[in-house]
Amino acid sequence: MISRLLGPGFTLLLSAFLLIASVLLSRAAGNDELFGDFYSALILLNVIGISLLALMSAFQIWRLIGQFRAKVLGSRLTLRFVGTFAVLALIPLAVVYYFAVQFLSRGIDSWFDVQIEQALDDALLLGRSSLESIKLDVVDQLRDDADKIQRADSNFEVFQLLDELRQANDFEEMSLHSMSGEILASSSRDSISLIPDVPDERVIRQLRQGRVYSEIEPIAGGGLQLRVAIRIAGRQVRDIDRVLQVLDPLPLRYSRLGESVESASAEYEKLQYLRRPLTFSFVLTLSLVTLMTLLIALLIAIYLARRLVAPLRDLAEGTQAVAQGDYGKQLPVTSGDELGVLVSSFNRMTQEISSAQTAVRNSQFEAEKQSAYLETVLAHLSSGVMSFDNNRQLRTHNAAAERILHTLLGTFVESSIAEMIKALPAAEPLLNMIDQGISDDVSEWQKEISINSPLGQQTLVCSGTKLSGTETESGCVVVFDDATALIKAQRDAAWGEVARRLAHEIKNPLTPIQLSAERIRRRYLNKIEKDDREILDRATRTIAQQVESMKSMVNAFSDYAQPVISRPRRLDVNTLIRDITELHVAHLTRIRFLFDLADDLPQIMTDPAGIRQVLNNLIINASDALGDKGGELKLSTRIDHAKDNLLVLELQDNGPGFPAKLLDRIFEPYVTTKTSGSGLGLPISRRIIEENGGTMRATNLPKGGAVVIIHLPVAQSQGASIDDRQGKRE
Amino acid sequence: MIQTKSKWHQWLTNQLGVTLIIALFCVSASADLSVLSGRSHTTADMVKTQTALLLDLGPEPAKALVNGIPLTINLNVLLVKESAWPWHINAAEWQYPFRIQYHALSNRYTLLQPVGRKFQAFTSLYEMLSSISQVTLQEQIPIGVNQTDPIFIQVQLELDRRLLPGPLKLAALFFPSWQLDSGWQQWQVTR
Repeated sequence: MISRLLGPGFTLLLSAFLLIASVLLSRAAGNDELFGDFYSALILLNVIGISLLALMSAFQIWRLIGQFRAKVLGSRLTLRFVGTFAVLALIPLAVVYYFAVQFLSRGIDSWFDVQIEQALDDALLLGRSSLESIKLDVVDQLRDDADKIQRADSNFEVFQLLDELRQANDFEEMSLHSMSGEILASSSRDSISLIPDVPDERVIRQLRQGRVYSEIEPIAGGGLQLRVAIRIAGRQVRDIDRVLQVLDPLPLRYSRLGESVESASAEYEKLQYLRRPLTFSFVLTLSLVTLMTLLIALLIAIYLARRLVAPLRDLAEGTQAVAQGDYGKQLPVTSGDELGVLVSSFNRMTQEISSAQTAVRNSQFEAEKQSAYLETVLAHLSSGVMSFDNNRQLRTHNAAAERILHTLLGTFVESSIAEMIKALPAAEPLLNMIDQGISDDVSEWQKEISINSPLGQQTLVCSGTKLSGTETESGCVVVFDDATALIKAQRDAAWGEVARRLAHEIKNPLTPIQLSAERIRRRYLNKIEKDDREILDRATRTIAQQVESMKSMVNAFSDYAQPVISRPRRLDVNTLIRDITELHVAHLTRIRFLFDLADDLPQIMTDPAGIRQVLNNLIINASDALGDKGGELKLSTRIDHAKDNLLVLELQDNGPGFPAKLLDRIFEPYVTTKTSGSGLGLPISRRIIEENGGTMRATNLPKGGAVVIIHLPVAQSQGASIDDRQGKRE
Repeated sequence: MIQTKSKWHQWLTNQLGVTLIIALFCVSASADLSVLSGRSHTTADMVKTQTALLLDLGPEPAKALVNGIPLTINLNVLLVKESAWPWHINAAEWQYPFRIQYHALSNRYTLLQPVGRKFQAFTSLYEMLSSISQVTLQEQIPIGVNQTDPIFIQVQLELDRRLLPGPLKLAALFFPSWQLDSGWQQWQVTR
């Protein structure tokens, strides 16, 4: 607000006003009649104006210094410009001021000359001497006249004599007074004037002292007159003393000459006396004008500097904005000079940068879109994808990779394969294969490997491709699928086919074999000798038994080959466990059943009959494994919150455990350690569990014994919907 | 460097000393314009004032006078009507200028009296100033002042600086020796 008020417009107006005031002041200093009376007012006006200018300058400089301290852009340059302009203005102004003052002093001094002064003094003295001579003549004449008047006998004679003497001497006025000033007689050239000029106290006083009064007096309206008074003593003691006074204007010629000398001398004296005040007033006027000029120059310098620096400051601000990433910065072009060209170039440059940046942003956006699309595709791929750079560091991966490897790979981004192997020992075969693939001089490779996952052995089908590109873009990408389920399904299908063929190829001939054996037995057993009878009996019995056994085996195999039909219901697993163990506790007295059942176990949707069959199988297997010596069988349940809230059911015994060589194949058909078993219990159990959405695995405990771990899904909503569907069907 | 500093110091001290002496001289110079006393009374519709004045110009104005600068001493008179308000009303204002001058040829000081435009010449300044130590003034009471109104007279004696020559006006503005002013003296007008 203040800076707007004290802007250039106001400064210009004030400067113009002060310039006019200065002109008037200089004229007034020269004693100009028109402005002489306003000299003091003009001085005051100028002083106020200059003070205002000084205040404005101080304010502007204070602002500049404040901006400089605040490190405002352009303030340093503005200050430099102002300093330079001020110095440029000050130096010539100071020089001019110095010489002007010198010139003034000497110029005024040169007006006065000793010879002229002497001449004027001499002229004045000459004038005084001439007047003195005239005065003395009149005094002498008056002395004679006084004698004559003294000798007069009567007043009438005095009057007559006075008239005669005045006319004879051509005096203006001649009068006779008492010593107290009373008029006794008078004679005047001016017949209108009745009362003569009365001698004042000074005249009387001088006469009383016995002296003659004779003086040249200036008269009103110009000119000089001679006043001479002489005392006339009384002739007798009783007579009073009288005063004879003569007034006589100087002759016109003398008077004019005298006035001329007087006037010239007075003017010279006056000028000489006014020399110092005049010099002082001129110097003061000059100083005020100089100061005013300096302040105006300073203010103009400030405004010019600001105006000059404004585009540079804008440019500096613009470059800062560009440096900070604001490429849309446009500066106002206020002039057509080189600075204007510079600003225009800057604007063009920012425009081009902005356009380029927009293009980059667009392409970046496109790239991001593509990347997002790729990520989406990767995320929705069922195959695991991992990419590694040349330094064998993990760059990207998808969710399927994490799901297949049962680990969060996000923490391993930018980790090397070696570091990943340390942290993920289960995935070591996969990682080693990738490492090998990067090292090998092949562009593509494909392999099938097995890894040990927390849920058992997994078979992965991997294919890798080398990436070619820059340092950061090269490396390899590995795509892998969990083929465990597929292989298992293929295996199951193969086994099923084998079972069906066996049933067809083996079971069909068994009945004729059995019937033939029974016919032979019925026909020949009683007809042959006793020794042969025993042999026949034993042989036919063996054939019947073996046929029966083979039928059972084929039936079991058929069962295994049959698809499992699951009927899910809401099931409290803990209750089911207690019910089943209740049945076994009675006859498996050598086994000590232990329970660690979670209290907060939710009900799950599963097939209770299937789970019952699985549990029976596992308990019988454990019982067989523990043998006659018996042992402990611990059944535990819990919820694994870390793995999608899976229900975990474990059966753990302290028997000899699974043979290590069979551990990986324990769930395959006919893999068994028992002599009487069919070798299909565990595969069937596993099929049931898998049909119910769970997993089943077996392992040995380090302290001895085996553990079978079953994971079943706890999907309430899904379960509820299945339940609901089931309910509707029923 | 130290020598230069001490020279500057000496120069500054001298300048300050001279300035101080001049200032003291200006202040202590015995210049005085005073209104010593006065009395006023009314006669019919006139107010008559007699006042005793003391005039001493001091050396600087006296020197200017001898050097041909005419001086004017104003006797300002105010007729003031008292009022119930905190301020009073100026009923009339008169100014009596005494114009004094030095006549070099005759070596006389001339005085042009304001009353009757009487022109007088004196041999000395003292004599001339003494001649105006007693002043009698008579003016008509202005319309608007009633007989019963309480009135008083204010008198001031001053050197008229406005009539000085231009360059001297500046000196009169700055130097106290030129600022001759008796201040206002007042007294009641007796009826």
